[in-house]
Amino acid sequence: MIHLGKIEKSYPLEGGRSWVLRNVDLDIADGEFVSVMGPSGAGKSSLLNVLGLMDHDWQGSYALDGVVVDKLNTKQRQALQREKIGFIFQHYHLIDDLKVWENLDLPLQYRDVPAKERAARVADLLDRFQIVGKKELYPSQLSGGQQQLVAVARAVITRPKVLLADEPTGALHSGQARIIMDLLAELHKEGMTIVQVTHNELYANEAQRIIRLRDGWIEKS
Amino acid sequence: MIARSLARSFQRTPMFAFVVIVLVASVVAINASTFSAIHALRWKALPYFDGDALLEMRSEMRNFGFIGGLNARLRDAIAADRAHFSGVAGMTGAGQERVDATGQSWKLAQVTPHFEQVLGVAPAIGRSIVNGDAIDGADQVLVISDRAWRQRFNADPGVIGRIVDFGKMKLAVIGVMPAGFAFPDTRIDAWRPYVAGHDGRSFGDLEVVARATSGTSVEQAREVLAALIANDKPLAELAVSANIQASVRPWRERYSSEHEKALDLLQLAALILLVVVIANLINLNLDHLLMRRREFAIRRALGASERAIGWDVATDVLPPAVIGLVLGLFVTPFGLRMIADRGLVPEYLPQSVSFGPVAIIAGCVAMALIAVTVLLAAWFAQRKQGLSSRGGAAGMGRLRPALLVGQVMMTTILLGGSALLLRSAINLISTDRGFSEAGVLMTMIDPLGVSVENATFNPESDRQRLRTLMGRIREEVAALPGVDRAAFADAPPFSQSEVVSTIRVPGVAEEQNVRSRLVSPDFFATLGIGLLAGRDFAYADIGDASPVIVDEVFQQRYLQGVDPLDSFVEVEVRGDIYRKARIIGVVHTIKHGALDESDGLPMVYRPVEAPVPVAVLLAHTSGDPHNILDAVRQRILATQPGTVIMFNKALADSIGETLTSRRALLEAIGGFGLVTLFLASIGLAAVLSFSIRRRTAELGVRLAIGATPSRVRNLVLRQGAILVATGAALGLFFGVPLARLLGDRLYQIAFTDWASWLAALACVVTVATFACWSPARRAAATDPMVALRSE
Repeated sequence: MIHLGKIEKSYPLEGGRSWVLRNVDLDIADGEFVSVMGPSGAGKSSLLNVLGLMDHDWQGSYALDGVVVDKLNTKQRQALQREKIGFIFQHYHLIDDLKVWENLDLPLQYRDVPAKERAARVADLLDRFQIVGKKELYPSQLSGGQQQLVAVARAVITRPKVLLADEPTGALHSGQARIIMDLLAELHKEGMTIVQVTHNELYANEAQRIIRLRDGWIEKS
Repeated sequence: MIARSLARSFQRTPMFAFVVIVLVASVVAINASTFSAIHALRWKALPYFDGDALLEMRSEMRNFGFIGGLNARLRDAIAADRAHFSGVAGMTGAGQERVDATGQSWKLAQVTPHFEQVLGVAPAIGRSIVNGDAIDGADQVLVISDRAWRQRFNADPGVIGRIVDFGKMKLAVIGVMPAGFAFPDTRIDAWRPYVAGHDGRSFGDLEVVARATSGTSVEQAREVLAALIANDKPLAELAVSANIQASVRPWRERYSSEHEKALDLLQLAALILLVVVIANLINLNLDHLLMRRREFAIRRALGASERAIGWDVATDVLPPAVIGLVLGLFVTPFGLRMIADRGLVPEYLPQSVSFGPVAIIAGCVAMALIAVTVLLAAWFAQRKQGLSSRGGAAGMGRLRPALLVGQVMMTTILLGGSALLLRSAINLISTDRGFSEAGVLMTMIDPLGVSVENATFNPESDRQRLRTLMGRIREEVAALPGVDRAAFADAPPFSQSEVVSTIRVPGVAEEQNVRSRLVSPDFFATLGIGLLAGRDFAYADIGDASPVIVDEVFQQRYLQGVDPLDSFVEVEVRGDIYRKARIIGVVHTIKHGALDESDGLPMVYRPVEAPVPVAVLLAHTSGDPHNILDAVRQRILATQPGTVIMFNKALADSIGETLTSRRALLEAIGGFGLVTLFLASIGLAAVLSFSIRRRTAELGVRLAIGATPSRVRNLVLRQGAILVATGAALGLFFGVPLARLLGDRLYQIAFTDWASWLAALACVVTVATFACWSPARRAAATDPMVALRSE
């Protein structure tokens, strides 16, 4: 599903360059669940941004589901992102001014899904995530766990092939975190490719594989 | 302290300080000068004792369509009514020009005895005019103004008894009025006695000012005057034919009535501008505070009290605002000059419009309003901890969108008003005036100098000689290169002259009042006045049995269903003697004194070689009449040396002068409208930019979950569009009823004129779209990585 070949990313500084990713080679199979770990500043989020096609300022090669990303222009890359990627953020990043169901509806709107189908998919997901009763509420009226639940639902409503989760349990207490991890496991069982960045060893071990980053390098296990 | 704060403020955010200074200075200057002008017209003391007790007593001749003065008999009758009036003065000929033996020009007014006592001002030197001076033969005296005393007599304390030589009229100076005294206005250099019963006196030529006793209202004074007019037997006939009505108003309104409305509208526009500037500065200051949010948090953490933080915020705003105030007050005299130059206040106002305490107070109030409102808004925003996102429009809080909507609303109101005035001006300029001013030069000539040198003109012996002379002048001017026609008239259009006479119309019992014009052959061709029937005058028509030409209004009123060329009227020869005059032509009705006047009295033209002793020569050229101005003057003087040329100007300029106050109002309101549009567009861009900064993370999320840049751009544009649409709709809602105030300034359009309002809306929407475009583009270019990190 994902092939990274010698990915390098750096920022120019006065005294030289600051390296964020160094010579990263990574293959993630279709349907694989991978955890990325490492200390702060190791390059975890940068790697996720590259994988999520949000960052295109890097060197190396990247193929996503058979599409060579480094050959694409901005528009094509954005289209590919819309088609294949779903994001979960540590701080949920729901849109405060939209109700729960509107937050779920938004990614579908951006993909020009017809209104009827959007309504059906939103209803399905509300039902599946057991948040039907919350659909008319605003994010600020939900607990952190409920917000992240909505964020996961928003990430998967477009049926992406790859789900990228940046510390999805980082802002939650253990009870809420457990629910989210169970949800990711369930999505993985259904065949979704998941890459999560986490500091939590326990949750990291729930993935099939752990990739450890240090100073931009992937540590050899 | 202020200097240090200012230096720090400038150092930290020079652009903020600069913008505050410029905006405050502009608003202070505009409001201070406008309010000073209004104050001078409405409340500033007239240069007389208790000037508000003075009333102007006039007669409205409704059938003639104008308001005039009274006569000496009525003045005496008013003076006799001690119950209502403690004094009455009369004045005539104000502004009449006389040239003395040394070649200096004097503007004189003839006044009734003790006029200065009625006004409550004593002469500074000598005495004023007394009853003994107002007698034929004893009237060779002069009371001069302080200005004339200083300029012409070098402030000589022994001026009393000095003679001012006006040729046959040699006037002895008997007094000097004090500095600052002006009556009826500042043009007048000197006053000489009004002698009642002089030949040529007619009803309406005496302007009367009465001092009301305490408790006498304007309405009571009007009733008194109405009763006097009704009981004046010699006036009875005219009172009926002219339908004379009493007209009384406070003397102050003589100066203010025509200007108050325009100044009120100007002040309204200035206040709108003030509000828009306040809204903009609030926005700007909130942005400024947002930038310093982190700094304030650190200060708080270090133990700064809210008061200390508040003082810190105030020192950013107050010093530049104070500098703006000083700068604005410095510019105010120029603003006042501009208001005067544009004709928005009377040119020769006795209570001068000048920079003084009123301007300073108005400026300080404007500045204080700005500073207090801006600081209050900052305090409010700080208290609310920024601006809750869901509470108001997305990411902007409630305050800023409300300010922006208000700005767009006011911009729409001002631009709507400007559009109405502009459309009205276009209608006015393109209105059919019945003649063509293109290429016409208008020169008023007095070949004998009867108007300034007191030369005598004996109609019996001089008329024919003078007409021959005038004819020669016309021929000489017509022969000038570039001049293709020349003609004479006694009162051509826009010459500020009027002649009304009575005629008898067959089949109509009463004598009728008509506008009467003496014109030479070729007058209609020179002015391009279209002939609807019959023919123009020929020189052969001139004589005791001359025919007449009438206008359309005359035809519609008196000649319905008959052939006008088969008709006649009876024109007045003298006294009660009338003669028949055949109608040989019908011409278009012309505008006489204003482009927006409606058809008034019918017109009857009578042929002459030239009106005497004073006539207006009309010269037509195919080119620019300004190019023949000097040539015409020189040719007239070469033909008859010593001819007094009272004016020599293009007819188009005379028409333009009648549009001065309209043009000034249009320029002022239009200018303010454009400034508010500019400020509102800056405000719109600032508000949207602010919103984008607050919503950076949200925009990043939207992009991360699949929004295309164009969707993000449209989101921001939509946000701007909602604000603009709301403001514009409110602008229409409040602006259209408010535009009623412009009602009397509009010509051939209603205040609801949809085309004008649509044009204003189009202007607002176009500029607002441009203002939204840049922030929207910036939003579309948001980097989701950076945006998400900013959370």
